[in-house]
Parts: sequence; structure tokens; C-alpha cells
Amino acid sequence: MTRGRLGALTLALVMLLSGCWSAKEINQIAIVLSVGVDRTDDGQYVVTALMANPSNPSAQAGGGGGGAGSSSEGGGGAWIVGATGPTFFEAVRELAQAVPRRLFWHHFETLVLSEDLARQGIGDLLDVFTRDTEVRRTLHMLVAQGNLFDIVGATPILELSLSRQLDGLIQNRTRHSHTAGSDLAHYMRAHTTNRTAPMGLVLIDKPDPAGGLGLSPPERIELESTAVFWQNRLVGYLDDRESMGALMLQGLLRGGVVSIPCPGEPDRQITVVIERGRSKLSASVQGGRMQGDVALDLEGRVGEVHCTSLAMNPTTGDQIGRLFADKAREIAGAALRKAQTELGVDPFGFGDALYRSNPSAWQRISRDWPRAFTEMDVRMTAKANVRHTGLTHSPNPIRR
Amino acid sequence: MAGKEAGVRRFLLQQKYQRTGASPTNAQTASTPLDSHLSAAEQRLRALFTDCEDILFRPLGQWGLAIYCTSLAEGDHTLEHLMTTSSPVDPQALKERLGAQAKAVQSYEPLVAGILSGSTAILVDASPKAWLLQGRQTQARAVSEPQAEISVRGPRDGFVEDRAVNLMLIRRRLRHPALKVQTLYLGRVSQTAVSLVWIEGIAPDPILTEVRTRVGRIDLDLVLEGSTVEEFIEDHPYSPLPTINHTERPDRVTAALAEGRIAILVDGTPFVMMVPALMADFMQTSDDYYQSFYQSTLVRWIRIGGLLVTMMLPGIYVALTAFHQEIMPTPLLLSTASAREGVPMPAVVEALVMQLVFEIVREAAVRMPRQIGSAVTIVGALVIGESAVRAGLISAPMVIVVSLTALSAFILPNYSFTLAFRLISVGLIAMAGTFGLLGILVGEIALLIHLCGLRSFGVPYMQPLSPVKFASWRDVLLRLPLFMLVRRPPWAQNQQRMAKGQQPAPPPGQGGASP
Repeated sequence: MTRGRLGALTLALVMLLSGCWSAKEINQIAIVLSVGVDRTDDGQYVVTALMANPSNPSAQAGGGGGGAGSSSEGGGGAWIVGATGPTFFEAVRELAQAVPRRLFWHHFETLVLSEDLARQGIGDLLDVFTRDTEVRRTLHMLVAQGNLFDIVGATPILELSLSRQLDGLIQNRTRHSHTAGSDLAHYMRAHTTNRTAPMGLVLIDKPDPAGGLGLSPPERIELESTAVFWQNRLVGYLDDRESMGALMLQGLLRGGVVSIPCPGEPDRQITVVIERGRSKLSASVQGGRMQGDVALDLEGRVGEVHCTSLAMNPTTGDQIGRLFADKAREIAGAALRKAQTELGVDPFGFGDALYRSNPSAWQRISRDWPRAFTEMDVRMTAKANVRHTGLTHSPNPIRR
Repeated sequence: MAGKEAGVRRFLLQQKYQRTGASPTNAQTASTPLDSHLSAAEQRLRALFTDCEDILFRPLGQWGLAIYCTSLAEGDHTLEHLMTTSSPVDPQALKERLGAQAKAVQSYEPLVAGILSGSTAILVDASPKAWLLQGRQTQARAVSEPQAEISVRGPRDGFVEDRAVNLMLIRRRLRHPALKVQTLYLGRVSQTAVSLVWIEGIAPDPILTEVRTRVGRIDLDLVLEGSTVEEFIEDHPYSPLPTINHTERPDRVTAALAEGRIAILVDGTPFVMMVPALMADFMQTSDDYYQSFYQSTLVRWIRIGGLLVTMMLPGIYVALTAFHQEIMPTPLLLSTASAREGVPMPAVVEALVMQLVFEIVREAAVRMPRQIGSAVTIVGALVIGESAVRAGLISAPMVIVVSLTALSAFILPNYSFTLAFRLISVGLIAMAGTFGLLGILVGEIALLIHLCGLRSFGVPYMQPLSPVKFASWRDVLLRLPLFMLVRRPPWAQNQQRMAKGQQPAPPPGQGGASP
């Protein structure tokens, strides 16, 4: 055997020495999908982790208690375990005492915070989520209005686990545009500017109308409205409508519906389906006072018409567009008002607009931020196009 | 005298060809002149053919002797006539009676070789010459459709075991004097005829010389199949990848010859070898040129995909499930996790075992007599596929991966090429099981280095991909319409193969209005 071949063989054998270095078989990991975090009065973190239960993905397995923590029922296709600790990491290692597999955080998708914790501040908690290598920045932060553990332990519908259900709710939020929050990356980006208030999604445990009829469980989980943070503390909420307004101001509107009055018939309505909305935010400082400008540009289509006599033609099309634009100004104005008067922070990005267009003006005004935002005057213009009327014309023959 | 006899005897067992390769055609280089006395010649030949029951000596009156091998040739009418001729005839008359195919020989070696390949030897007393009469064709398989290379639209004839028939099939397609044939005899015992076929002016001379040299220096006892020759003339005998192509289809060989390749026909096998053979050649079939070029291009890309799947899919599966769960989409991870739940083996062992099981089933299906072949399918599919998954020994995704890998392997047209990549895939599974995707990457790089270093008779194996020859891509990654394939492969002589600008079109000036 030549020296070269001997060398190649040795190299090949050396490779085998490493064995299956850092291999972790798929059935040796516990895939953490969702985590709920609360804080007790004595400052302990209460962490519940929802893990995929691969051995029986359709089972309605209840959770077992772990460490010193609490347990809750539900979570089909998943297993919930809880633990407490002085820090998040300690709670997780406490939790690991009850989990026979290595916790795997790469597919951790949703973090549900209790309202109390969110109000107390989540800076300490976010440290671990931005420091750890396994957690992704696509993580969605949700604030649970109501009892955190009722929400985390809820029985999933349509999906096999609550985590998949939450993921579906988040993916589908553009259908209604009633919530304006986004993921951890966006939160961090907004937070680190010190100008824009980050927003989170809100989960609400609500009575289900169908539950009263005995058709479904009496309560259900909804994703709606928006939690607004400032300096890692929850400062308040934007409700459904205001959340849509926030999306309009940010130019991120991608769906949802609004109703506008019929031309000439104020008690009857046209429902417009929003296709998309763009916005142009700008801000300037005039005489020490901040001045904001918003130009909204929306597109929609007619979804439902209750008018008795509305002939759809270019003229009425323009008319509907103007009414739609008025409505948009009203919705965006409501969001702006809420932020300026009640929340006192800017979740929309006026501060950013000023910083980008006039950094020195921003420097002067930043000492007075976010109070300058609350005193800001805003000029808002809106233009809207309604493009389609659907498969029928108006007046719809079926109404004759 | 005794020395001469020993020389003839040695002819059979010690025949060697000139190592120079300059003229490998002529096997009869050694020469022992014939004895002019009939009795002396007969004595010598009878000694040589002692205990050869199938060699028949028949006297022709008093003037001559006919010798032939009964297992190869039959007695012929000319012979019957000659036997009734009692008086010696003058050479000129004899030649006329024997007919035009009769060949005169003057030494023992070609005479013996002729007898052993089915000719009838006629020795005449007091003559320095003997005559060889080409024997009648003995039993040979009829030309039939090739079993291993089916074509949807294309000729249905395939090569047979008889080299002469195979040459006929090629010559019938190339009626041009530039088609050259050179035959040499390999194997000290078997004396197998091996023909080199090429088209002068297209086949590059350096490659032709190289083929002649390599074939000419083969010295062994027995040539049974083309692969015997193949293993002696490859550029890289230790590479798992074949660098010599083979086919059963005469149309394929014809096309290869017209591209400047050299065909090697070995007597006794229906497979004809073609050199040089590059990576791209193993990914093509003759049907590629018989069906729509859109279809052919699509099929070529499917084959490229199949090649990648064969090579990498099990490895990637192992890497993903054992190392990189984070890059799978969450729903895929969850369903994979639930399918793998309770499987006792690590993914890499599972993959290797399943690959091995598949090889066992494949080998069993090939070796099993046809009557019980269906048993293999039942055992393979039901017992291994279904039961192993039910019993929780193997995960269902792994069965899917291995089946898909096997299916992809079968869409590649060349069997030995496919086997090479199946072998490589096992290596990649091991790499994936050791280092994950990083291991696959390293394995792929090593493979690429190897592929780019391979040569087939001096031509880079990866050409036209590396070294890049863009002009050839039109018939490698694509299959453009035939009227655009104007040039031969870059290594061939005489690049232009047809007139340019032959794209067909409707007649001009009709304004689109047709009657």
C-alpha cells in the first residue's frame, strides 16, 4: 500500500472517531412549540411549555406537573409541562426534570405573556430570547388578556395542538386586520430605536356565541387588538378598529373589511373589502412643535351592498371611493387619537420619519419624546380606489 | 522438425500480439510454412489435433485432404464434389471450383485458426498453399429487440452474440468506405475476435491510437464479455464510475460512430462498447433523438433530478432528521417526528439497513428464476415495506425515501452508471450520519473533484460542463432541434456535421392562407 493510500485510509478512520458528533435523533428531542410565562407576586417566573407529542399526535393528552410548577389540561397532540424559577432559564431547567428528552427550541413559535408580567416589564425575559441560539426572531409575542393558564391550556380547534392553532391565527390575521403586532424581530427593531413603540398580538378568552347553543365549548380563543409596549412595558391596547388604523398608518394593511354608508342612504351600508393600503408618513418640526403628515392610499373592492338603488358606474365608483377614503381617515384618526391621548407613545413611526428626514430636528426633539408626539398636529389625506364590484352589477337583480 | 511442431503447438497457448500496437489486426504474425508433402502435413496436424473428436480429416481422392471442425462447420457441396474428383487438379482449376471466398494460406497458424473458427481447410499434395473455405453460418440467435434498452420509437433490432452479425447491423447503417473495421484476436485459449470500428476522418487519431494500444496489450487466457476488455482498458480502473459506455442497440453505436467515437465489438456478447464515454453520455438514450425535443429536454432534466435524488436523498434525510431538525418546516418536522416515534435505530443505521435491504431485493429479483420472480416482489413489498413499518422497526418516511431513491435510480438509462451512484449514496449516508449536512457537502466536493479529474481515453469526463464548452450544452443539458445540432462533440475531428440553416418553415409568400 502506498503512503498516499495509507494516509487516505487513516483520514477516513479518523472521521469515524468522531462518531455521530452532535447528532440528536428526532425522537430524542422534545419540540417546544409554545411557551406561556407569568410572574408570581414574589417575583418567580412561572413557565409552561407546550411540546409536540409525536407518539400520539391526535391525542387529547393532558399535561403533567413538572418541578414545582402548575399543570393544566388540554393541548391535543401536545404535552404541557410547567415549572417555576427565579429566572426564565432556571424555570426551564426545573421543567427539564419532568421531560425525558432534550428540549428543542428551534421551532418555538409563540410566546404567550400574562398581562401582569407584560405590565411589570419583559426586558429581563426578552434577554434570554434574544441571547439564546436556539430561539428564532420569528417568534411571535402574544399577551393573554384574562387567565394565562386558561388560554395556554385551551382545547385546540381544527389543529392538533394549540400551538398550531395560534400559528394559524397569526398567519390569518390579515383576513380581518384587527391586530397590528408582529414578531420578535420587529419588536426588537422598534424597541431599539427608542422612537417607535413596539406592538404585540393579544389573545383573548371570549365566550363563543355558538357555545350558548351547546354547539361548541362555551369559550374560545381569539386573536384580536394590539398590545402597545414602551420601554418593554405594556402601556395599553389598541382595540380592533384602532389596530386596523395602526396598520393603515404603517402602510401594512393587507385585508379586512370596512362598512361605509350608501350614497344618499345613510342608514344602509356598503361593505368594502380592503385589498391593500399604503401610507406615507412624514414629520417635521415647526416652531418647536412637531407636525405630522399622513397620505393614505387604499384599494378595495365592493363586497356587500345593502343600498336599494345604486347604479354602479364610474361616477358612483368615485363616490364610493371618497366615502371609503373618509372612513379610512376616521379609522386611522381614531388610532392616532388613542395613541396620543391615552397611550402617550408612538407605535406608528412618526419619530422614525422625522429622524430619517431631519436628524438634527430629531436630536432636539428627542429629549422631549414621546411627549412631543402627543402634542403633534397631524394632517391626514386619504385617497381610495374601489375597483371591482364582484360577479354582479348594481343594483343587483336579486334585489328587484 | 520437432521444433517446428512445438512451434505450432505453442501457437495456441502462447500467442501474443505485438506490444507496439501498430498492427494488432494481424494475429498471424508467427509463421511456420506448410509442408509441401501432404503426408507430412497431415501427420503434423493430426498430432496437433490429437483427441479432438470434432476435428474431421477427410481425404480428397489421392491428391488432397479436407479438415474441418464438425461442431463449427458442416460439410458443404463443394466438398462433396471435390471428394468425387479422383485425379489431382491443377491449382488454377481448383481455385475456380472452390469459388471466390476461398482463401489461400501458406503457413500452419492461419490454417489452424481458420479450422477453429469454422472454415474448411483443403490441403493439396505437392503444393505450398492450402485453401480455407468459409464455413456456413452455424447456430446463432436471431436478431431481436434488445431486452435492456427498450425504445418507444426507434429500430427494434438489437445486437446478438455473433460479431459478424453485429458488424452487419452497423455496416447496413453506414454505407460509406470511411467506416473502418480492424479485428484482432484476444485470449490465449479463447481466441476471441475483437473488432475496432470507427469512421475515418471523424474519430480522432490520438484516441484511435490509444484504443489500439490499450486493446493490443491485453494478454490473458479468456475473453468472455466486453467487460473483460473494459476492465483492462479503462483510464481509471479504481473509480466506481464507468468510463466506457456499452449498448445493445445498433442505432446507438451508429450515432456514436458518427460523433467520432470508436466502437469495440467483442465476439460472444450482444453488448458493444463505445469510447470515449463521458458523464453526459450515460444520461442519454437513443429515444432522446426520436421524440420531440421538448419532451427530450424535459426527460433529460428529470434524469438529472433522478441522479441527484439517487445520490443525495437518503443522506439529506439522515442529516435532517438527526442533525438539522431546525431547518425543516414545523409541520413537516411534527409529522416526521410522529412517524419516527418508537423506531429503535438511529436514522443513519435505518438508512443503511434499508439501502442494504433494497440491494438484497434487487439482487434477488435479478438472480431468481423468472417463474418465482413475483415472490420477490411480494416478500419485498409486503414483508419489508408494510410489516416493518407496522412493527415500528422502520419509519414510514424512510421507506418512502428508499423507494424514491430506487425508482429514481431506475430512470437512469445505464445500469453500471446507476450502480456507481447507488454506491456513492451509501458513502453520503455515512457522511451525513457523521457530520450532517456538512458531511454531505464535503462528500459532494470530494465527488466533484474526482469527477473533474476523470478521463475517458484522455477526454475529460465532465466535458462539456467542466471544462466548459457552451456550444455542446445544446445537446447535453438541452436537446435542441436536430437542425441546430450542427457540430460534433468538441474532441471529434471535422467539427461540422451538417449544413447550417436547415430550419424548416412554411413556403414564403402565402400570407398564411392555406387552401
